[in-house]
Amino acid sequence: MKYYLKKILGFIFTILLVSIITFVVFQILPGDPAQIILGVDADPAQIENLRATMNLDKGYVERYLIWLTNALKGDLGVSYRYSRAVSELISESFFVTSSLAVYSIALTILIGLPLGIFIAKNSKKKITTGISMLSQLGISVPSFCMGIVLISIFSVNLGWFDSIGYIPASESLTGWFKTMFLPSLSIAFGSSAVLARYIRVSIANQQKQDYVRTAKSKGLSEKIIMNQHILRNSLIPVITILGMLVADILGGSIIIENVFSLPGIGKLISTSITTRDLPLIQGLTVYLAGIVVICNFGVDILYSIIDPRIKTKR
Amino acid sequence: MNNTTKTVLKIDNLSICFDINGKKCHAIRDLNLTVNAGELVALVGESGCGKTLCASFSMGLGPQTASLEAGSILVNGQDMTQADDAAWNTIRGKDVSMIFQEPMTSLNPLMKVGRQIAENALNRGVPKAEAKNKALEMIRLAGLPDANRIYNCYPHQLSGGQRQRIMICLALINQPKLLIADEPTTALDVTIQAQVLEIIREMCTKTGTAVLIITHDLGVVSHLCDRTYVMYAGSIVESGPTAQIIQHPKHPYTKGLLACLPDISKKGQRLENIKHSVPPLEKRPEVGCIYANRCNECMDCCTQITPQRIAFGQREIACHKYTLDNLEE
Repeated sequence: MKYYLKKILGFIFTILLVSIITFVVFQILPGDPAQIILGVDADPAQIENLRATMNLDKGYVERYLIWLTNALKGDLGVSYRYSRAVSELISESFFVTSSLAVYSIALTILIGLPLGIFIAKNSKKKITTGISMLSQLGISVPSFCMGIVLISIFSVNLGWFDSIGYIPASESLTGWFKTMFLPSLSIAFGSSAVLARYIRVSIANQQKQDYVRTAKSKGLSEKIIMNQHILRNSLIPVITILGMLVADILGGSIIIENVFSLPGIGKLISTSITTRDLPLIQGLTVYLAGIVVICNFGVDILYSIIDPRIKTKR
Repeated sequence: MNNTTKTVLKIDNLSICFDINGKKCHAIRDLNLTVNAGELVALVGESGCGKTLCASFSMGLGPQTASLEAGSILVNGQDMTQADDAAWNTIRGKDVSMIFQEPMTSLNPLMKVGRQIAENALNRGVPKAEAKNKALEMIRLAGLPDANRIYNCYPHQLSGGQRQRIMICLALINQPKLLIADEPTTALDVTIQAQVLEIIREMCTKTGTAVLIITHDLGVVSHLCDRTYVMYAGSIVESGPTAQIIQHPKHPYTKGLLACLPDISKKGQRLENIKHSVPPLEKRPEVGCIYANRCNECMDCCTQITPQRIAFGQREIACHKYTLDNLEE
């Protein structure tokens, strides 16, 4: 219980810190939001008026505290650009981004996990060198670049998928599946290569452990030793990587959503930054930080499921 | 091999080499060792003299960098010299088992210890429920209280001594013909060492399992083992009934090892030691007695001619100091 309390306190602290940093950074950025909304030719008195209603005339600390108290009540403010509640905007695009993230993580695991195990099992065969080179490629090519390559192959030349556009799952499940495939694959390509490498190294490390020798001394076949003993032990360090990949994938989705014109959080972030839409940026960063922290929390829980040593430490 | 005493492990003229910078270096040279059914045998020697390597090869678990140059290994009458993993898997854990030096790391940290014991029986086609009962029975036999609780423990919840007992259960659940115990008590508290050895002896006597105990401590084996092999730098220098070796050591190395043991009669005196240490593989002489540079009874011939084994009674010794004539006197 104490463990969870500590986790939750850390959770709150992280989000608070993130919101403060975003707020401070935004104060340093040049550009007056009121000016941007009203345009360059606006009457100075009008601008002053708007600044007052937007609380821009108050001090930094006071403005932050106003935002914080409202946020605690669930009110993240109103977007300057869209003139709509921030929470509403986020919840609209949330499904797109979260499904993109889940889709890419699923693809990452589906590709990376078997690949890593395969490389580890066949480390002495020639085919492994080829796969290793391919995974090197996957790590070094950025996801947006991969996205463009995939579009040119599968949309332009083969015509299997549409290059842009988004079909909500509520309209057509197969349509959603199809439109999200290429963006997810461009993210998963790199992250599954990273995952495969970590799994390979992790398995190689475990194979040297004493308990593997014990398992061999029981006369167990290599397959049983791998499946019953090595794999689960190898997953422990890999889970950490998976947690980090989630944050990576969320960051990557900002770019990928722009490449594939998906109406997600990433799209929202890039427009909110160019229009100096502070309430929206503030809301989005806190939101994303929350997701990352929750994912890490999930990783911790996964740990305790896999590794019994962690339970007793609590 | 006759009918009354069956040999469970027979190592003949075994030589094992490591390739060091393109040069073949002997880690084990011309080693002979037999363990008969139901017998307790000790293999004694300093660290780095090849005891564990010898044990690993007797389980087919030798390192891939080591190569078997000559000789043969017979386990339970079966020639395993050229056996591959699949062939070894048919007898490993069933006819021959092993306990390792490091109880802290020898168990899978993510699997309940009971399951790890039962796994060995399951692997031989024992039904699940029966395997569990057998494992519980083994835990009880090993003197661990509350077998049901222990069964569901993970290794980190047990102490070193308890884990080593689990290893013993794991090794003996299929009632093997031979148990190889590689320094089973080295990593344990002194207070636990005697207990664990006693459990090994007791459980093996019950199942009729022969034991090959590998140790660097002559004191450990003195009251436990029927026969002792003294090993130095990859070769057996002296072997025979334990009592005879302890009371009348012949080889200077055996004498040296015994002199190193603390003893109540030596109270107040400085403890003996053997000068230098076991030479590294690449520096071992090809001819002559390998112990010559550390021997305090070294003669001229020792560095030039490799001593041959001489058998007398139940003992064997390889040293230039002895000939058949002066031994029998």
